Amino acid sequence: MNTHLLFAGLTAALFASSVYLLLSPSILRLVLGVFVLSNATHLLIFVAGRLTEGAPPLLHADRRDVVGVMADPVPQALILTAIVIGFALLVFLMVLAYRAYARFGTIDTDVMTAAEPEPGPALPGDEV
Amino acid sequence: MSWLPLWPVLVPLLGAAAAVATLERPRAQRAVTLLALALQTLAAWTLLARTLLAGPVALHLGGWPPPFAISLGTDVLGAALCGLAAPLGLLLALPGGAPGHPLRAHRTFAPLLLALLGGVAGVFLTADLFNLYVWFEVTLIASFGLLALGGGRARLDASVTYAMLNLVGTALLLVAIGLVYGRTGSLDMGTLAEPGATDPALLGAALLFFLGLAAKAALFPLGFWLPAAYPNANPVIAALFAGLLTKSAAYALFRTSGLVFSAATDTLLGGFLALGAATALFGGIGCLAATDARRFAAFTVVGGIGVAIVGLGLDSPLGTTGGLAYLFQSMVATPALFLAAACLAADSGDGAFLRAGGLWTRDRLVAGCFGLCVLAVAGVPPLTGFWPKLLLVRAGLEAGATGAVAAVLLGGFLTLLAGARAFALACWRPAPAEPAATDPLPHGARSVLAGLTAVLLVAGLLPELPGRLASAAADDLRAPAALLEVLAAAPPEGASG
Repeated sequence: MNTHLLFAGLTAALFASSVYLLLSPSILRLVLGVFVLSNATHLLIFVAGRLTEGAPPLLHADRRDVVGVMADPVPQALILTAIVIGFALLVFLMVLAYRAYARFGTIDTDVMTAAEPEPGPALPGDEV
Repeated sequence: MSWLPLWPVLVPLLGAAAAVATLERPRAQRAVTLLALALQTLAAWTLLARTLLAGPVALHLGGWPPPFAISLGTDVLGAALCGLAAPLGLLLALPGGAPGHPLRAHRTFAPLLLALLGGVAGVFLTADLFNLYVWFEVTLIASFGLLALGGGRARLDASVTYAMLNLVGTALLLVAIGLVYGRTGSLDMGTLAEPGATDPALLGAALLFFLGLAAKAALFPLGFWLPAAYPNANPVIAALFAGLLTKSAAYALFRTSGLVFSAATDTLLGGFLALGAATALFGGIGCLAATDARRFAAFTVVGGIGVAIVGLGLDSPLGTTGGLAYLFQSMVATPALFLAAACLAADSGDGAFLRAGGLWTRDRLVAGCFGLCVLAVAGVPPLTGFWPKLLLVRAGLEAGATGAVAAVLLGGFLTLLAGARAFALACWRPAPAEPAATDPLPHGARSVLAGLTAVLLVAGLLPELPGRLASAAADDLRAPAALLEVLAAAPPEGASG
């Protein structure tokens, strides 16, 4: 039970750090925030699947039935899938962040306003 | 056990692989892409016909019995959305040989397009909660590539916003899925929906799940990324996004609220109603504030999602039918409006209404289609947007949700006001003295625009057919017994995947 509590606290700390990083305007911190967020998520799935010590999910070669306690293999499979996807996305994000830096000369998203430039002159009927 | 739900997912993914293999041979790549899209459309329509005539279908991959198998399974709702998504992709890719079309200009467009369509079909057809997340990621990865295609400052900036927001959204989905598994030990939608499996402790997981989906569907406080991202994409790609991405998230909201998180949904219905109403109103206000055609089109996407979610929040047969019918029409109307906006932008230089003018005398087809699409998204009678809103207003008044009804009507009115002003400025008034430099536009965009508008017009004049489809989808969604039965049926002995 104490191990569960420890891991739950660790997961919470990771989520808190990722939220802190994600609130920053710097792209680099955003990328790191997404990275910490995905790792916190993986840990959460792992803990939610219960921690079972020293009980690998392996079946005996000549006995097909389950004997005693066994770790749940499904969360591990889920995390493996999520790690692969998360890694690919992280690499994409890093390239995107680098390209943005190369193009804008800054990593401050507050300064990058190319997607939503200041609106032009008001349309007829807008002036009050 | 039926193989039908597999093909609309598998065909475009195989097509994507073939399109990668033919990267160096543009003609072969175009042929492969169009063939895969045509086959996907055929498969989706076969699936739709099957679900309409003989009820829901399910496929337990690998031949495992239900709680262990990773299942594909759907009813009329998923099949209908798949049957709209596939032909939209085909129609947008059809003029791929025209100069300026991304299928001709960028050789990486075809694999990404096919992966996107495969991912969206996966979202619509999967019956497994974790696979729902995986298909969202497939869609997301493809859309990252598509949004950034062509490069440029604005697209790069838009990609950063879009990527960050959507990655956080999918992380929330994954957290919720982990909690659901930890609590129930299952991710199979059929098992999770079993009566008695409604666990109040899942409320927190449901909240996180809906929060992630709301961010992806661009619901009100979480939707600011959409007007930043879509207007900057290539016009064909923006139309594709408008028709598929937010709609797949809205579908997942409808599906999981009815099937997986039904206990939590009862508590959260008022929240859906309020968020939907706020989004519908926000979309209308955004339309009014937009000074160029592409941002105007982006805000109509936001407003359309709001109207559909109001239908989810009303939680009555009439309300659900109206919401789904609006979702269906939005899948045709908003892509058409994005194409019209692109034609307008190509004509006036940058799509700013102030610099445009005289389109009616120069290009009557585009101007007419733009006007009709505005009527469709605003919900004015002869077009498709009117009938679903009529159902929603009636359902809302029956349920006493006058605030939501007022928001939907006001949002539609503001959209109409903004659209009419846009039409007057860009089409009605005489051309400016110095016409702006015009961009070349892919020839095909005009004919695709005309085709989509014709669909809107015909479906608006004959509302019986789409209405019946939406009503059948709403019935299946609200009474999932038949779907649960096929999902729970064990595959025959010896069946191999």
